[in-house]
Amino acid sequence: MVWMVLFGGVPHQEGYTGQLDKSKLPLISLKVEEYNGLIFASFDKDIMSLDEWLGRAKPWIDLFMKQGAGWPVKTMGEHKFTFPGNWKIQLENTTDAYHFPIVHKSFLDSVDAETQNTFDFVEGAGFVEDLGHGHSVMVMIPELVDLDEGLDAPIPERFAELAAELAKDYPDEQVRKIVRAVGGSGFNLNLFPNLACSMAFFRVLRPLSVTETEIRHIAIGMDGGPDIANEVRLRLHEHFQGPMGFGTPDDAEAWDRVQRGSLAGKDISILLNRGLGHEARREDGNLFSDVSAETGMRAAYRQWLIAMSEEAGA
Amino acid sequence: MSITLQDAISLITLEADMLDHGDFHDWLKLYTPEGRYVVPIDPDVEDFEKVLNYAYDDAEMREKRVVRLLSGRSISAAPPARTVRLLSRYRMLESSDTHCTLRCAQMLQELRQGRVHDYAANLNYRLEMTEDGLKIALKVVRLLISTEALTAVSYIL
Ligand SMILES: [Fe+2]
Repeated sequence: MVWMVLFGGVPHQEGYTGQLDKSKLPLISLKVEEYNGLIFASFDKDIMSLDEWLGRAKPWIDLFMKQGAGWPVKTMGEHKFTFPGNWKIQLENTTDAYHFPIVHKSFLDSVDAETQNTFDFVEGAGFVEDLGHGHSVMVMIPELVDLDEGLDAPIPERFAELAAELAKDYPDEQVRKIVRAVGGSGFNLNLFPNLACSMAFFRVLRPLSVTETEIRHIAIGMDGGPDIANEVRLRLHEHFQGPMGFGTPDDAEAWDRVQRGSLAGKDISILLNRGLGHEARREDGNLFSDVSAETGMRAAYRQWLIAMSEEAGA
Repeated sequence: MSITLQDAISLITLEADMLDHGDFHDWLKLYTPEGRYVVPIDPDVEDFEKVLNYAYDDAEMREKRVVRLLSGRSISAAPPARTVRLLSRYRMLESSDTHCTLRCAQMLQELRQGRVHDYAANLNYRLEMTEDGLKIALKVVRLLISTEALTAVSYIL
């Protein structure tokens, strides 16, 4: 009978002669909570509140949502793809700055010198910070953390045409705000276990098996904002993301090679100690290190270990 | 005289041959300067500029794509995927002496890193007669599985 639920009802209920109590046979419900437009769900009814779970990651979600430039953030379609590897290598990826100049050489070749300079962050002033509960943030471009600030900064050349178009309909300050939002945030927020607010898009990962993972790269835009600005965002997303982008296929290739490398043996070491030597603690207790540190990976694996060893409440 | 189906087929099978054999610089010359190469996600969309696609390439992006594939600096394209594609089931939808639209089926098999992938697609073309002969003004690759999860495609469909 169970599958009948899918068709919206039980046929010929008299056949149960009073022995069918539908109130005792509901669909499985999840615990669902929302924060700043992001909806989270858990099968665990006893899990801590979302507020507590997100904790110190919340201000970073708020910063990420500034990409609405005053409008609400909306989703604008997604790229969905799989790669033949374990989900944790993708979990690491969002908090890994040092792969960028190596794995994404061909993407960097395809953008102008000013943009190359913006993405040259590995030896810059950025940082990685452990936000608790496995969450972390990697700040790559400190000037682009708060999109409401620095509005008097020069408009990058690649957005000059968009800015000129927008200037026909919007005052200068709003043009600058929209253009800054279009360029995306300067950080990746990694929310354990499967969501990343990654510079200018959402990344959702789903393990299909030990050796296969599905990834969604969800494009975002300004809900009610100018079409021309949202279209520039779409073109930027297509340029890097997705199975035919100039970035994602090279990431997927790297994950594939890591997966194959992991078959070399059970006793090989996996180094996660990058940046440990100069890791320090902020006043609020957060561990942090330089932008290329593996502080975020260590945060995620600590939480993963808690989940896998069922040390509830730890 | 209207563009014939035979002329149209000659051009698009030439394109298929170039893509399978890595003649990417010659491939660029098959398009008009304003031409578009599009791989949409939404099977019903016509206004590609307004939505997210897998690829929405103008001349500049096509050229960048070719540079990337040939540069040796992209690990997903070095070594490159090998492909064999077959075009068939051609139908001319509209034809005049200046332009035509046609569609056909494409079956493509890809081999990379010891793995084989198959991609079936409907191809929609708009061709234009120019001073330099017949050129591609629009190619739309409508993958059968466009709304499913793909794997990395580091070549030109
Ligand atoms: Fe990457």
